[in-house]
Amino acid sequence: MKVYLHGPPRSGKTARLAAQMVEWLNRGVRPDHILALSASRPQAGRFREALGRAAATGSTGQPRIGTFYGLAQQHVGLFFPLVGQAAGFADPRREPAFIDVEAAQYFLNRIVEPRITDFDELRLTRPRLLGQLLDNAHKAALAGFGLDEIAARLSAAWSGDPRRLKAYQRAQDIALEFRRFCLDRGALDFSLQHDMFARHLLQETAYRKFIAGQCRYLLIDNVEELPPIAHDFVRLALSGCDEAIVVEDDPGGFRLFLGADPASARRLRTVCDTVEEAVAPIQDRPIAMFGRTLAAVVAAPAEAPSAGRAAGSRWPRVTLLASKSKFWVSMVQAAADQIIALTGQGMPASAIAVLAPYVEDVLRFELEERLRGAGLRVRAVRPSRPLYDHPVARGLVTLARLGHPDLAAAETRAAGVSTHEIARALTVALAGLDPARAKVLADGAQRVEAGRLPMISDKGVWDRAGMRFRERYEALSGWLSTWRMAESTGSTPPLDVWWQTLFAEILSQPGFGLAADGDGANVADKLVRSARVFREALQATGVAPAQSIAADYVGLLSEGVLAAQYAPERESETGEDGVLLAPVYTYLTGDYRSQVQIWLDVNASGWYDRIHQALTHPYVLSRSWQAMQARFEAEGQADVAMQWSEEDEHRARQDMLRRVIVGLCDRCGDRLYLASSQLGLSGQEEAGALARALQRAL
Amino acid sequence: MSETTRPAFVLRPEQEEIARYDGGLMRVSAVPGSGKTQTLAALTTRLLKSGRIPPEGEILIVTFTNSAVDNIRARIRAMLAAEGAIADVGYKVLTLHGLAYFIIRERPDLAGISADFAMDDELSGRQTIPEAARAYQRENRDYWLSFIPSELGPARRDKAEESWGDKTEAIAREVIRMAKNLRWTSADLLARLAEAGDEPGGRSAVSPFLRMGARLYERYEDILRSGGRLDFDDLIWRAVAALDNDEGFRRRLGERFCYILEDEAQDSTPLQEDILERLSRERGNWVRVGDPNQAIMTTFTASSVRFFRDDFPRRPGVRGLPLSVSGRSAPEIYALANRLAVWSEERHPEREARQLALSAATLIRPTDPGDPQPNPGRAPGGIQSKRYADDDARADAVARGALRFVVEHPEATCAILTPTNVFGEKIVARLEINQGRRERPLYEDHLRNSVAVRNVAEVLASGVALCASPQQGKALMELRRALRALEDASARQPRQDHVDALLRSAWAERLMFPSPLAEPALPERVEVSPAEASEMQALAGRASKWVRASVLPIDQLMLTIAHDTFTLDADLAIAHSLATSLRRVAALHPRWDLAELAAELDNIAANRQQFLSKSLLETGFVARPGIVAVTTLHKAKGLEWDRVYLTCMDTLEFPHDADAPFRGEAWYLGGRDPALEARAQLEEIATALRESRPANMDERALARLARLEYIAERMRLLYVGITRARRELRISWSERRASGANALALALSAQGLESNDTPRP
Repeated sequence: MKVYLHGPPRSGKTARLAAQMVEWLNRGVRPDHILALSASRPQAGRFREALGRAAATGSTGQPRIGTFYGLAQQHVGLFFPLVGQAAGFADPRREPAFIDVEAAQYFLNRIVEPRITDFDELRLTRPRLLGQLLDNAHKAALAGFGLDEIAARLSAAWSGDPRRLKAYQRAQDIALEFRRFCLDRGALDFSLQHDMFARHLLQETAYRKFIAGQCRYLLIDNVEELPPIAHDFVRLALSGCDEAIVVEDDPGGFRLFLGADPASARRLRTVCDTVEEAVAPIQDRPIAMFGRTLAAVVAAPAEAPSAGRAAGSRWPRVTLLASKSKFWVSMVQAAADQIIALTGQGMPASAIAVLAPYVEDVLRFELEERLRGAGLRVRAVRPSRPLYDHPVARGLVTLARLGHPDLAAAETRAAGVSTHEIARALTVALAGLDPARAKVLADGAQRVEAGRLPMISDKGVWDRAGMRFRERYEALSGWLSTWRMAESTGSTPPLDVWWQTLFAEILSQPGFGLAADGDGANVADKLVRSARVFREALQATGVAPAQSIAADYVGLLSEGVLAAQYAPERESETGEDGVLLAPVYTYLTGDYRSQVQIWLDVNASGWYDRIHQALTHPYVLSRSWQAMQARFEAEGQADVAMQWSEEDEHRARQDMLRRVIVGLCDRCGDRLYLASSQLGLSGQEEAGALARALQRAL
Repeated sequence: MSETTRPAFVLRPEQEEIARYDGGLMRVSAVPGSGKTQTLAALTTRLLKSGRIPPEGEILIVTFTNSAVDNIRARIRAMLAAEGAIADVGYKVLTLHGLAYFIIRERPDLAGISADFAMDDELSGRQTIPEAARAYQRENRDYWLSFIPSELGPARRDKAEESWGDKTEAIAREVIRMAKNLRWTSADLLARLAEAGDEPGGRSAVSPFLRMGARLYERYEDILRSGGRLDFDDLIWRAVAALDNDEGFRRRLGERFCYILEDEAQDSTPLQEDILERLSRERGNWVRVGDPNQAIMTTFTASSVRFFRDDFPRRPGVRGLPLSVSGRSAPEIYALANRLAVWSEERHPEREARQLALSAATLIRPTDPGDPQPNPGRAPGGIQSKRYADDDARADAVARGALRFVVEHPEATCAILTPTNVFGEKIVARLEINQGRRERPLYEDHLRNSVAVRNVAEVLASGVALCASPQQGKALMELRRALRALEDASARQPRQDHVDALLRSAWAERLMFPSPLAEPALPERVEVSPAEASEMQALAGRASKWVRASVLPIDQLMLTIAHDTFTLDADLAIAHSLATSLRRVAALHPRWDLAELAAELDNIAANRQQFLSKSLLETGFVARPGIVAVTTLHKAKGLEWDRVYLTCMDTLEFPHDADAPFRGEAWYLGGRDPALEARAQLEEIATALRESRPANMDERALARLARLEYIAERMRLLYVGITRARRELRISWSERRASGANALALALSAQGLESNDTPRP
């Protein structure tokens, strides 16, 4: 039996998937015949938990649990010899190098550099330009069309200044050149992997037979968050398997900007034996009911504004916070007061989520400041924040500039590390060191030797900074100078290895900065991995000499070119205690649930805005758009319909806002607080679509 | 000006007539002090209550400054609240830049930029034009130097070169702004110049200054492009482009903004008109309110004033209504303003200037009996005019007179207005000397930066500097001084006291971040009273939060400091502007640390760099009784004082003869003003193109036109100055100025204001 199961969150779908796995295993199905895919790695964890509950796993291997992206990468690597030539690799016998987004941006930057004036009509920062160029390649691959279609699609949808068409063409030319670079150098970036997977591997008879043999039992969670080529794969697997459950969360499609295509997912219903709807009675879930009412208001034709009832009269569990306050900070204060009151009444902090369209550093800071007094922690989840914005990442970069032989040598030629940077790095490295004492130390160090972290013998410095830091400081200083000495011996470790060693030998030791800082250790780990993949990509493609890799990496990181903004596969930072603080989309794609939600900045237009980019377009470069166009063409109105109209835009935004509202409310168990201020963080007054809908719904 | 002076809803008959507007094009000519804002607010309220605004529709009110936005919004809120209606639905009040931001943020893809674009503003963009000019001079050194006569001696030559460098920047500023308002790129401009200037025989009729301007524009574009930056005009241009790039988008916004009310329309730029014209196309409801006689804010005054005064009413179906009743000034003063307008329109010696300068179409009328805001009564000797031998004597006499006035009339307000900062500084120096040693100063210097801007910048500068050097007790002391100056709201630095000395000697880290060992924060044997200790502790507690916040991006750090410190909305608004600007500076200099950013703020606090220099009103200025405010005529717009000193009212500052020497003209160029000429010619080329006729490229005629426009602009500035006074006007001028012999401005002497007397009736 192959079941397509759809329904809202909290209707028991995932539980059913897990139970099904247990049932199969208990029934004696060969574990390695089971394939369970989720939209993200943390979500795949639910299958692993289920696996633990199965009474006995069979003798033959383990069920394959993971994400689609992981599977695609694995299978492309596995079957590379079969499809490498057809994909156009210059040397299909050479083992390909998988490169990550950072490395791809680095290579792309080299291609863009001489042609930067091609985009004069636009005013984009370099990281944005690179991001959008790469995005086009990703979108084409995930929707399953060729890079040579990008310009034609974007152009057909554009009705304005014709100069933009040239920019589209140039964007496509660069994407194609980047692709040629990858094929020549044996590099597999995200787009090429998925292009190979969809357009070559899925067509190979041998591969199809392999899937038919291996994937007898299929569990797919959150199919609406997957891209069309994943649906192609699921379709193939469904055609040959014995039993399957495909689950769609409705509303969903929150990963639209990462290629998710709910309409494409829904087309899988036709290849399942039965379509079931998971029902979650919402009568006893007032917030879910509120969400549906609010979503309906978004879509309904507007009525004239009327004198509003007092909030909460119809929705006793929905409360307005701070709506009269003028400034943003008062709104944060009101949210903090509410949190303190709730926890005072016995609500665990971890049951509370604070959500906003964007979570700026200052929001986290102000919230933490206000909650600290009540002994409450803030657990901020902001996966799309550039790594370099984190103080720990910056601190590690500074330490590398002070001690890594390749970088330290470059520093002596350049402006050098500033006292300010050294002070900040010290607050990261030495646990408990405040910024003022850090500056005392940094100043003291600079007086001994500029741009270094030398031993300090001046007693006056230690009197002020505190003797308790001396031993640790000296350990760090000694460690760095030992490495700097290595310069002369020529045994330079790669930057990632150097950082790993620094972490293992110093920073993770008791009394040092990352010993008790889980978040910080996590950042360090990410930085190490990012640097390693970058190095491996550069080494494999042979584009840069080994000595310059570390400097290239640090340079691009600090310029923001390696912003790591696009990453379909992300792990959530976990940690159970504390009030969750997350951007709305992160909360939704991470499938979090909470008893209490506090929505901040409900006046902000960010609730309604999608990310508009001049050189790419999530709808026009999607498969559903293609399907829609085909239909229009059949009806003989191709020219008109190809354009992305204001009406399309309006509909798409409304649709997304409705999904966000329902998605959030379905994930809220008990109480919802809506907080706003007259002026936003930047001092501007806003009245976005959510605020207008709320005025009508409340 | 304050909201409490008049009930929110009592309208004069003229105001009532305007508030009854229900659609179409309307032009309102409002004289100074006629209750423009109040009328706009009333009109908005009426429209909202009329049921004419569809559910998704909004009234769009566009005004000139952020403070005007706040002011109008507050009045609308108050009126709506008084009538029990929802206060925040159905209207939007924005500056032009706010509107452009709004449009771009809706669809950055249509505007061709990313949502996080980098901006050049008064602070972050101050180096861009000089940089472009330097690049141009480097590349065209010989040509550029060829404008300076070769026979000059070395000293004169150096002087000429320095001045020519400034003039080159002025050319760049004029040409770039003008071209952007035409929506021409540098390539467009060069192409049009080639078309316009081609003459048989390969000669070009295009002024070399305009050609230079086009090349400077090219360099300027290169600089902005390479940094992915926009300037303010680009921002508006991009917003227009976004509307043009998607007809459906333009239509949706046009339907949403079903009524457009434009405040200060006399200062509108072509780009502003481009946006509003596009937005009003759908519904055709556009109200322009302004005073053509007060157009002093933009470089495009001539064309824009003409558009507001003449073109807009010439469209079919435009209603023109006056707001002529004003209770601001005493009879002598509004009579003088009226006489000036009539003289300008009918008797100005330059016939062409009569059309360009002041309009007598709407003269100021006094209030009717029973008006809640009646004109002040007649004051004998209300207007006095006085001649002085030279500038020093005049500065001293004006300073003494103003000080005497506020000492004798502590309940009255008083301002000294000057055409330039340079003379203003002379006055400030005399005020400082003449007021003697007083506990509180009797004057405020609002010349380059207002006191509020300087105070806010100083607190933020010292807060950021503390974050840069949190180990220094001195940094804590500076912070305390800035906080005290803010509390005091005066221009004078607070005196050093014992707590300052304690802080200077303190170990700041122990004060802000006490360790478990509880080491003493002060040296031994220092005496500290309990009050002093608790004051220091409170300060350290506040400061330590900011130091912890120093990992935040600069704008967020500044906002954290601001919201912990400022209580006045006006101060917070300044802090927001500063934070935004500093973020742009930081983006431009990614390697700068906090100390360097603090120095930028300190430049503003110390008047080395201007900020929010457009108008004093913008910075939340409120005239304080018993204090002399010193500022420029330009910045005084929108404000009023009981007594106003108008200084430098001479023929050099306010010329009337297009053939006489002008201020700002270059002696080494034979008395030409290159920037003005370049602008006039560019304007002529654009107008000819619009009217499909050949451009008149006669250099002499254009130079003359440029001078006429300058004469007209100065007439309006004079009018603005006069109408700042409620009861008394003091006019002064010197017979000798650095630039030569001098006389009272003809516009004033023609009204009988020769010297030491009141005007003849």
